[in-house]
Amino acid sequence: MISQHGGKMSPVRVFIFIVLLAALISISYVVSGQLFKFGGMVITAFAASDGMPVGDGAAPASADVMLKLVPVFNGLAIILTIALTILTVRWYIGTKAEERATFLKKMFLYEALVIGVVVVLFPFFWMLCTSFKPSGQELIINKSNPFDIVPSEPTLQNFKKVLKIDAASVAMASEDPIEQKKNFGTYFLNSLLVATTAAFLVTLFASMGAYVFSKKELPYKQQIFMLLLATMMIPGMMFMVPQFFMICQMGMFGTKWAMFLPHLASVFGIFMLKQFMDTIPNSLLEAAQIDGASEWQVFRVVIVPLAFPIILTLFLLTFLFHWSNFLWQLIVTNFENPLSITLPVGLALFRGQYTSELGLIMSASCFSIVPIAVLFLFAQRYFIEGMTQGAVKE
Amino acid sequence: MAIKSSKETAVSVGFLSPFMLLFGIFLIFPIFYSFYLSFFGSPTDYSLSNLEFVGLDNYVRIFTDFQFWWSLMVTAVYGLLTIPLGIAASLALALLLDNKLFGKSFFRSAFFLPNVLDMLVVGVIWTLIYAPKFGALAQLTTFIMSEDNFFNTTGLLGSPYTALPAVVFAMVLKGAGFGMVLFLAALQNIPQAVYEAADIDGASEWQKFWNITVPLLKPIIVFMGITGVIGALNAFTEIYAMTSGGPQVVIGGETVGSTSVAGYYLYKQFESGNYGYAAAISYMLLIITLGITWLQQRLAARKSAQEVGK
Amino acid sequence: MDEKKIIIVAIIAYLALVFVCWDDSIDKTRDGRTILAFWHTYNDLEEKILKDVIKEWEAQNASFTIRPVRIPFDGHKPKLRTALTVGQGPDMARVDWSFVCELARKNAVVDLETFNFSQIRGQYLKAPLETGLIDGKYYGIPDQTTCVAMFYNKKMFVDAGLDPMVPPTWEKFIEVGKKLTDSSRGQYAFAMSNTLWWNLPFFNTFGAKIISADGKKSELNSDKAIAALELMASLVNEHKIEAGAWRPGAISPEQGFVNGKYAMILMGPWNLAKFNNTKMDYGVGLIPAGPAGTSTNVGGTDTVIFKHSPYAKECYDFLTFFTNAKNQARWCSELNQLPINLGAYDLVEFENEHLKTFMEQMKHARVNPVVTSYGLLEDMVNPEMEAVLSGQKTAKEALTSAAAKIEERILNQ
Repeated sequence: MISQHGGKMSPVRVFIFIVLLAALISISYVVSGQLFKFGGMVITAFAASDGMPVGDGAAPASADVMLKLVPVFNGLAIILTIALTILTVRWYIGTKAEERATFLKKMFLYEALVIGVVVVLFPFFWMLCTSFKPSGQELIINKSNPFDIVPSEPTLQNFKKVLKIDAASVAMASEDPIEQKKNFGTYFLNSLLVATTAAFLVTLFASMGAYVFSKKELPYKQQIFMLLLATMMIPGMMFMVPQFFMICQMGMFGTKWAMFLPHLASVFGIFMLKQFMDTIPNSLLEAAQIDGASEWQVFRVVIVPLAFPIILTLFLLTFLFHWSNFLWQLIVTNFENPLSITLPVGLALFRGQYTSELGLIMSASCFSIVPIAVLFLFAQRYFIEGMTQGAVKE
Repeated sequence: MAIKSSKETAVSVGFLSPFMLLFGIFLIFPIFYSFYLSFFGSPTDYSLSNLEFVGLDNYVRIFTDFQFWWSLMVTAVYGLLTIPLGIAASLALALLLDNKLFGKSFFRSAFFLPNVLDMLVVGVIWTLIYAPKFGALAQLTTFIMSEDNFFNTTGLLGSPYTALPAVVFAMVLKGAGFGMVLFLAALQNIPQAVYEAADIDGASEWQKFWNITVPLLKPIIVFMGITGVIGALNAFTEIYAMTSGGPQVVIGGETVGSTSVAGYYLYKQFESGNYGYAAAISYMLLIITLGITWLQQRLAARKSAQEVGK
Repeated sequence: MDEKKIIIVAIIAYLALVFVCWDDSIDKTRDGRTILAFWHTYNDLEEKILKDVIKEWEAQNASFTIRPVRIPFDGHKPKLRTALTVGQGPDMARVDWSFVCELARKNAVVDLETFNFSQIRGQYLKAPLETGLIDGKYYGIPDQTTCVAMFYNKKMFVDAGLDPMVPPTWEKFIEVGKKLTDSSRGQYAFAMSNTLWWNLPFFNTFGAKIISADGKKSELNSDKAIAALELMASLVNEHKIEAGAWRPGAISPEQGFVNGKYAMILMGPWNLAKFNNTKMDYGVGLIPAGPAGTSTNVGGTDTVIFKHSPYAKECYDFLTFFTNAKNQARWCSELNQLPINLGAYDLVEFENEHLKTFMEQMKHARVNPVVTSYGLLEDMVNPEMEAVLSGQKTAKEALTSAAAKIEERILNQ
């Protein structure tokens, strides 16, 4: 059976295929070339930094290696691209004539998605690359190939400075016990503790509150909810001074409680969870109530698992907020006590007055993103699919 | 019945109390305090005890403050661009990735990932992408066209006509992944049976989308709409990082920033110590927003009443 | 039940973290001395020398000890403001020069004349010293200073067949600039920023003042200031030798400079080390002279003593010790910075040619505008300046309206 368009060679379709193939080749070559170079660059940076005196010495060594490796990166990228091209062409030829239109549609979809991912993830890649660039060279552009943003003289200097394990900082570490506590590890653990505790409490309280607003009866429920929403319209900076005043009155200045307590009442969280819970059919709750479940059980067994992806999203977002809540944590930090310094504040301490060193800022950002990336990868499985998917989709 | 509803109320209060307690302690006082401040002049010392009562002066001053009304207009444009585009982009991504697709979870993660980046870092990076002469976009356009093209000479952020859309584009890309997750999760709650019933009735894909999917996703769309409004009113970091309110345009002799949104203007007032005026501005914004919401609800109610009348 | 295990492990890890890290009390070493807290924003290298100086001072003052507390420069203003609101400020602090006026007018810092500052203030460089002069009284002791000078790319000058040196006057600057500019290759003679502080050298070389001496009026609408802004606009619009780095979203002049696209930029000494890393061949020269000769702006920091401190006298004693000629000489020779103490110039011989140029430039610096909110001043002037550069207003219109706004919003508040 031959369909209307299929069967014979359709020149339009072949033309579209060739255009898509050309796009595929160029994306594949540029992206894989950069990724291979990035991989090689990271390894070179680590290899070159070992045993090297900290200073200018490390850069030229890594530059030599990188120069020698250029044909390797390009070769790998070309091989990959050729393999991909051959595969696609064979696939296309192997496809039944009447399914070729679907094949082209799919191919277009994937290419669009990949381009989308490239655009969306470009800032990440740029950040990673910049953090490996030596001071003063962050802004230098490769003249022969403007698309080449991976540094050719990678160095770990920025990371070392941020972690305070470069020679200058090590020499600085004195016998003073307070001074020794001033390191990245302390700040990191402090922030981890503050952000996890805050995220846990916020998600707990917000999901309980959202359950009431979405599924329960309460006098003046709508009015209360509207009032909460209205408070969201006032920018948070208006609350900073009075909240600081209260924290000091409560004697919590410089403690970990002060870092997150005023931000626990998250109206945004309640709103987000309530809106999602509104999409959960009421029939499920009624079924559980008929089975004789208590109020808490309904919440725990029905609501939480169904809303889990969104609860997790809220957890992640809250964690993130407290992980980078610089201005508030700055004003409640007691700088005489390094144990009360959190990561964003600690990172700001590295930054000098006039040195807007991009490499340093970017490598510091890399570090603050690491735990979130880990959290994200860990949660990824549950991220979108709920725990009890089958319950809804009969 | 009365017993059941009072028990229900007790349960509701129990579930809500931890949140309300924290809200009451840490937000009620600051809200009233900042409202109180809006009737006072700039503090003359740091203890905030010697404040000069100025009555409604701060509010009166707002009415003659051209910069404020201009920033309000920029905010409106910003909101009108980001909210629909943000919802459309997230919904499109969610529908695309709700299908059976090779590498689905990779794409989902990839699109969500920009949300974890600090706004300031995203702003800096997009500035570098847009920058004339050295930015990625300028490099690309000189590669394709000539040296003398708009992206290479002025840059997207350098022209008052394109600066705000350029900021919007970056922000929509950053935020689309978050909306996508919400939509994807809500799509899971739509029973397959509803679509099957529609299939039997012979509904087209577009009809199914418009008559089934969209109404069932309405709570999420409402959420994105309202948080979008709040986001536009509070927008500050992206402007601070990307344009600092510029490029400037001269309108009737007044020089105003083409991306100077209300949140940025408010921040500038706050930063320079005009707490009273900043508080008055934020309450003015609140009143305006609530007024528009009320008006819109009235209109919607009248419209539906008319439809019932027919 | 793998998931359960992971969750249990996560909870245990979290609890362990709570037990180990929640406690934030720290042992304080006390040997009976009175502690004076000094909030500073120095970096590691600077802090090391600071601690040495403190040790020397403590050797002479047996009953006091100075506790240096580093706070981030980004955010030292909100930190101090909020701390002062609840009365938790330090005894003394190092702050940005533009912050002294706010602190003084809000009655937070001590008038130094209480300790007869006039007897010793002659030892400090005039321009940085004057940043602490608010309403006729001195509130800040300068501890670090900077200014900008003209950096130039030697190779670009040679390629254009010119002597590698900064032109002595703005007229020559334009003449040379035209030879250096080749817009078809993206090369420009000059690139400038769009903020007031960076452009003060233009106003200063014309002898224009932003705020009048009594602090009551803005002199931004004077003929001198208009001429200065007209010169800036002519570089962009008439002579087309400026690269457009002032546009919002454009990359800072320094990026174009290190990429060999901009032949000259205004830049401060803090980037010398960074530029050396780029291996480019550059020089530093004095800013071209206008009708009032060469001139520049002033940056840097001052140290202030807070009124609530019961030991203001000791703080003053320490800060003057810290900035005396001997300590400044050591500080600047080890850190390659400009001394603020005139006596230090005799004690050290700088090898760095560029730094010498900066010292020469510093001698021609003019006092910065003194206003309660310097940030607000920039917010009033910068947009008007941009409107002129982009050709939407004439310099006279823009500066007249900026001066009116400054008087209304800042000076007569």
